[in-house]
Amino acid sequence: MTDNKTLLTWSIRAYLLVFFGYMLFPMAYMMLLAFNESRIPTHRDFTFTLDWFGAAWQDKRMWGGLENSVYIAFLVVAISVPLGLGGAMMLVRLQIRAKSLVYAVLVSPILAPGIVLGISAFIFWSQQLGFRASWWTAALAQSSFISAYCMLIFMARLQRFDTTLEEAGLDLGATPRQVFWRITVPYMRPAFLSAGALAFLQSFENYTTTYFSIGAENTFTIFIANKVRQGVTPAVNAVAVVIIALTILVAVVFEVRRRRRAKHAAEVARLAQLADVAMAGGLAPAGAT
Amino acid sequence: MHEGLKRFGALGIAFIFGSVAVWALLLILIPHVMLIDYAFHANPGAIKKGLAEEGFTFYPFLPLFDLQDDLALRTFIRTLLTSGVITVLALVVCYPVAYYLAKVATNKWLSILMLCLLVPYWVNEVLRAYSWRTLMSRNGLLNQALTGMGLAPFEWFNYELPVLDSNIALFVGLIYSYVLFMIFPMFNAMESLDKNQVEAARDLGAGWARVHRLIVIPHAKPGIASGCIVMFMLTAGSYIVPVLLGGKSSFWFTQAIESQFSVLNWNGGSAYSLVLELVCLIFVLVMMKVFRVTLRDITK
Amino acid sequence: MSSDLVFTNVVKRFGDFTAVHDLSLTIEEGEFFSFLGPSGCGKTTILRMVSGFIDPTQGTITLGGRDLAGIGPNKRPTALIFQNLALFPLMSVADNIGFGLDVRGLDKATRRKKIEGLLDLIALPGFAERGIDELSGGQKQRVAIARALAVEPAVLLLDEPLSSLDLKLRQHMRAELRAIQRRTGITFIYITHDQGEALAMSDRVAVMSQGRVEQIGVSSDIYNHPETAFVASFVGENNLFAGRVAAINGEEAAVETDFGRLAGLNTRGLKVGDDAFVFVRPERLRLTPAGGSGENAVTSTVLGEVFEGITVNISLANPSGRAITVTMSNDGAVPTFEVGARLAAYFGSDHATVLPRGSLARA
Repeated sequence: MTDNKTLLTWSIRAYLLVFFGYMLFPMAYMMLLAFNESRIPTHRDFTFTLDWFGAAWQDKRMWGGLENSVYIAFLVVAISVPLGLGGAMMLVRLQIRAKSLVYAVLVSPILAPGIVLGISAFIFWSQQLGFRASWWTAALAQSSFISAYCMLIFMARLQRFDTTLEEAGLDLGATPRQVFWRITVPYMRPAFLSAGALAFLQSFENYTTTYFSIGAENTFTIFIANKVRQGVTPAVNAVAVVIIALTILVAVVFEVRRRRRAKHAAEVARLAQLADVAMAGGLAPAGAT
Repeated sequence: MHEGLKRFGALGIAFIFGSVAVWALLLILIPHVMLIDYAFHANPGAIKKGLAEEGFTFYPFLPLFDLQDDLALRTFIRTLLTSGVITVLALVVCYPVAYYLAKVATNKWLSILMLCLLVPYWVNEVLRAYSWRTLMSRNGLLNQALTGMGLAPFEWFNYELPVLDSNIALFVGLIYSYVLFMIFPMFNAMESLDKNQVEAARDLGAGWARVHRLIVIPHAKPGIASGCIVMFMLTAGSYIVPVLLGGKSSFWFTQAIESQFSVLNWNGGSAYSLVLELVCLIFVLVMMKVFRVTLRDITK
Repeated sequence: MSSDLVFTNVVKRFGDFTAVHDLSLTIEEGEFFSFLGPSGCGKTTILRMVSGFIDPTQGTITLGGRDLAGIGPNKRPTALIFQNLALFPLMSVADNIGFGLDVRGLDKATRRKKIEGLLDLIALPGFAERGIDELSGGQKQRVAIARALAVEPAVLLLDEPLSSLDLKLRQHMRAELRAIQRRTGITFIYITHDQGEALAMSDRVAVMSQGRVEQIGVSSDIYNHPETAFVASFVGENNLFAGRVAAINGEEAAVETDFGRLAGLNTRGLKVGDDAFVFVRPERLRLTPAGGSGENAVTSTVLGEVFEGITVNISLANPSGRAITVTMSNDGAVPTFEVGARLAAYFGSDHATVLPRGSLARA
């Protein structure tokens, strides 16, 4: 019995080890190659160097792509956050008919292949309306599905929103606009931040939708893909190192902040409880039971 | 409606309806209507050559039904079959991991392992595919390991799997690229499972297999459905991974779409896109039916 | 005309469901008025109509002679204290209290002065900069009151604000609310399902059931002279005996029940042959050994005895309904009754009320 259990435990551990090895090893190996002098990415004859970071840094096309990526990402945030908010408000807060139809239409871009979103945006804006496909058509194509992600974030937050807070605001004499800006928006602040961050990152790393809707222009991700297709140098690996390092840094900072906040909230709640004990015990009229 | 006006004011209501209208119409519906319109019209080149009529036609879809030159059809079927197999494989691979993360791992380990998963998740798919490309290249690490063990090096990119005429590199790379989209929905669904239920069932003498069949899987059903849908959709719709990891015989349907665009045949590309989208739509509907889940369960 | 709140034939329907039936009543300025009833009786709907979140389907509500129809909730001189208090969690205590003043454009200094005055009123001086999650349940309660009072409403509406507090704190807050009402002279409209709360604080109480007002009156009338079977059984404990009116003797009616004829005050003018309930409060019943064949005597078997401290409750079997309860004051002379013993419970007919069965289906 115990032998059986130990066997199970160890086989699960071995499985997890293999799985996480599978997930992480390619990333680690890719990072390692950025530091080898060899002109093609390999670990053979390993000689440490940081030259590839310099080479990546000096690549003009990378900076051009990066610039486009940032423009697109900002435009996507500017479009997706308000659209997502509007959709979430309609679905969570208004009593309308055909709610599930509206919901299905608005989330459908998440469930559609990225290539189709890119192509349909290209066909509409560029072929049909005659605009030149460029970074902003790519941003519109991305916004169709990124808005849905934002909407899901806003919906989750709105569903937990205590609507009596808005009523209280109105009841105390505030106009609907004052209520929105002073009560609803501050409550939604974390959702705005996560929706904005998610929209930015999704836009930044998107390849397929962008590639099919941007015409002849470049983004950072398209630049990397072209680099890889044309035969690589370890400069690509150097760029990957920077991206992964930034990811880890951001993730760790978020986690630390989250923990600190949770700890603080628990402490405050504990102290507040003590006050009631004092009030009921000390101030209640004698023999009121 | 009247209560809504009172609550949000005329400006608020205008914002809500305006944003939904812009989004649904300009970004989703009208571009799609255009895509459909293009798909049912022949490209000008074909019309000039007298191969097709102007006006409504099925012409752009015809290559998919051409049994003489069956490249498009074979590509289409290969893409769907491979995506299906990969989805099932990913489900099997991820289930124990998701269960472990959701119900077994301690908090400390959970945050470490989550970080380990999030790093490849936030690195974009181009780099994910690229990382395997170096590993599996002719003189890459994997082949060196093989020769080190006295074995012959392996043609990772051209070693065809017997059933799917696909190749190992593409198979491994596709699973690697999208496996996290399988884990996270399952993890979320399993996390809300009350651990006491599992323990109670164990206590009553149920074996592990039965606990999972009767308790964990029914509870995680929406997550499983959601994971499978996203996995299938991303795999079948993947473009850059087949481009970077595909071999001679593993042409992907998205590449077929791209090749239509590269010869400026918008109509053909639109028709193929529409077919791909239709397949994904059918897959979503079938999964919803089979797993008896709603759209809302899936997008959670 | 003072600022009385007048309901005239107010009806509220939600689809097919009628939440409030033809409500007409006047709440006087400076009154502490309670709506008492079980959940779903329509009391919250009334409150939301007064505060302006929903509109009556028919009828009018006027305040000081002014029709409130078409006036938004943010323009009405009413303030609502929500059941969950609805304090703004991201604002400090001072910002919560000052919210209504701020949106009215009052300058900072005036606001500050007023907030401090209110903090004194609710006995929380020095709490201005605290966050809401740093407050205890009782402190939150007081801040909610101060926030509502800050806008100087003509009518303060309270939606079961004490329901989340524990018993001791709730009793303490009752006294405090009553004191604040006296001090400020504002009309308070209080809704609750807790009869103790309503009877203890209010000048007048309206008991509601299924969208209708069953009875309006001062607390002692509601308790001592219920006008409907619903009021008699909802407010306080009551024993009820079902039967049919057999005779009318002046102000009293005799009802033929399973226990024989029981007589009580016929306040509703029932006639011979009408279906009726006889209600007798547990504390108005007296016990004697079985055998004496006095009038208004119910002979039955002892089911058990529950010691409650101030009182002792003895329950007797009632073959056709809820067990009969007799409450005796614990004056040191309450005998111990054996389970199964036969006893007679009797009462004076002026302590019993005979009422029509009405909407009360239970027999």
